[in-house]
Amino acid sequence: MAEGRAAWWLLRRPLLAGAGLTLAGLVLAGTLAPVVAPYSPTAVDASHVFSRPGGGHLFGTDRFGRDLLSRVVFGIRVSLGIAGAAIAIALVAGGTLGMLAGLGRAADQALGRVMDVFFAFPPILLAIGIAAVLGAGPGTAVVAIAVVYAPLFFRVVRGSVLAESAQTYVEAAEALGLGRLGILFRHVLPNIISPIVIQTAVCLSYGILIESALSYLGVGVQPPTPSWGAILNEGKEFLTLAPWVSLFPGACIMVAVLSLNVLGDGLRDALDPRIEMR
Amino acid sequence: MRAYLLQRLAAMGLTLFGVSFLVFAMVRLIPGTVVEQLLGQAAMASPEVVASFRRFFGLDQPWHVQYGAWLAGLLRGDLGVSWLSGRPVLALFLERLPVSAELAVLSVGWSLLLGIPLGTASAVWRGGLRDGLIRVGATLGLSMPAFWQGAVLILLFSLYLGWMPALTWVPFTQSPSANLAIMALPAFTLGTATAAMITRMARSSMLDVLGREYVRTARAKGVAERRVTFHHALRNALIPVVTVAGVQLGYIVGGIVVVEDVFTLPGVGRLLLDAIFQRDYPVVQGVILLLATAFMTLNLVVDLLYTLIDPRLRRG
Repeated sequence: MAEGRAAWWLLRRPLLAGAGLTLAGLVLAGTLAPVVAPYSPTAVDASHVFSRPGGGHLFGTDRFGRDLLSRVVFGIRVSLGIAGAAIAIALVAGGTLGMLAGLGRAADQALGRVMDVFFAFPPILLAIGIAAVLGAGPGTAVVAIAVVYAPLFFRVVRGSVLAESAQTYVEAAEALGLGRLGILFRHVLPNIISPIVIQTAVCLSYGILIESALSYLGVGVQPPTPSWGAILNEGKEFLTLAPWVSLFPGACIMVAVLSLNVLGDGLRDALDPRIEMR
Repeated sequence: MRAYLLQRLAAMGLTLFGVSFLVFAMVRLIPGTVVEQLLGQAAMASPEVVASFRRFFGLDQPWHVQYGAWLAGLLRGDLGVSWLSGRPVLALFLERLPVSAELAVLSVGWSLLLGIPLGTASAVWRGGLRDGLIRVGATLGLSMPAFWQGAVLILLFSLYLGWMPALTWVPFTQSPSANLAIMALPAFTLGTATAAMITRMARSSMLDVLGREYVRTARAKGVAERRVTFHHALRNALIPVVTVAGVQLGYIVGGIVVVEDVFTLPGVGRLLLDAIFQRDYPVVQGVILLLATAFMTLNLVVDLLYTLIDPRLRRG
């Protein structure tokens, strides 16, 4: 039992480090995509249609003879970029509203009712609905994911603000005559950073999953732009003929999401053991 | 209990009102009006035709009148008519519902069947190698996109095992065995993330309960460990698991759309995607509204179940 626990802990630290390194590697490869990718992601090569992985094309080629490795590497920019931008917007918008809910009962009630409406939709369904209305495209995916996850940040920040408001230092600041808004942003906010950081890591992984699902279904990023989900969308008709077109980008999604989940769990253990799972 | 139910129903009614407004507003936000979408080039040609179409769809009315009329229709069970087939949206939805409902029930079923025993075992084996393996497996299950998992399963079964479920749909009532053969892989795929989530929740809930005083008392009394685990601990540990299962329903209801696309099942999700690509907005609107309503209703049912399982919540 004791050895088992020790083994688990030893496994766990490198796991965290591995997750961090993997994400850093992905971001770096995406940033340096023009240098890292052996070919242009959109260069068509009629003589190499559906080449098997190996040789000149490590991940093989797709139905237009485009190099899959290059498309996957450039896809990092699109997939992580969309998820990152969307979650940043959700964090700022949802977080600010969550802080404002701490202004008073009326604000809390009103904002809470509005957020309930968004929570009434299954996340992916709301994203699909928004994408259907705005029309497919990268901007649409950003908006859709931001709208879906802003309420989650609202809930986390609101809950933390409420819990923190009962602390003596808030009472002291009130007694000193500080304004409610000033107390919230200057004194409460620095104390609720941990749950926000954990939530951001978790939501980033959701963001990647939703972006790829939207693009896979054909309502997100459109071809020839390479996002991981969009490559999978192009590959689904040829699944049994050219499985590599689907397998490699899917594996990338899984590695990115897995790393973020491991990192999120590690952050949770390190920063706040009480936070609820979702 | 009754007051609680009424209060919950009132809150749900209010939220549904908001949901209906959001869905209504969404379709109004579509670039270009409905009329231009339908008429295309012809819209440029004749202002009279455009005007008559606008009148036909009630678009010449102010938005609150349009919303009122739409809402009144909803209350009568009239969700409008498909622009493409001319059939009522509700009928189209109900036609496809059995496929999606079966998929959802099977997915939730297998995720509970797998998640609860695995989570319990993981907690009992806490810190050991087996616990580690189950936890790694759960994290993997949470990280796998359903559409990719589905593709891998199709490949594995068709290319390497030489067995492929039929591509034509067979209703359960016609041939249960053929139907379940078709449903096995989709239900497995849709339930994987939920099974992983339930495993995690069951584990942490079980660990929490195993540290409680009454468990220690039971052990001190000399109750067999097996009985402590299953009789004293597990029954209490399952309460928070029900909540997680409720939250996961959102994933299941939304995931239907993705999984039906992967396995080409003729369910509600397929109906929604086809309507989106054909710009059949009344169907898009109706299906999203009905799925959101279904999700809210299921959540309410889970919350009520929760109060039934946990007697402490029944009063108050």
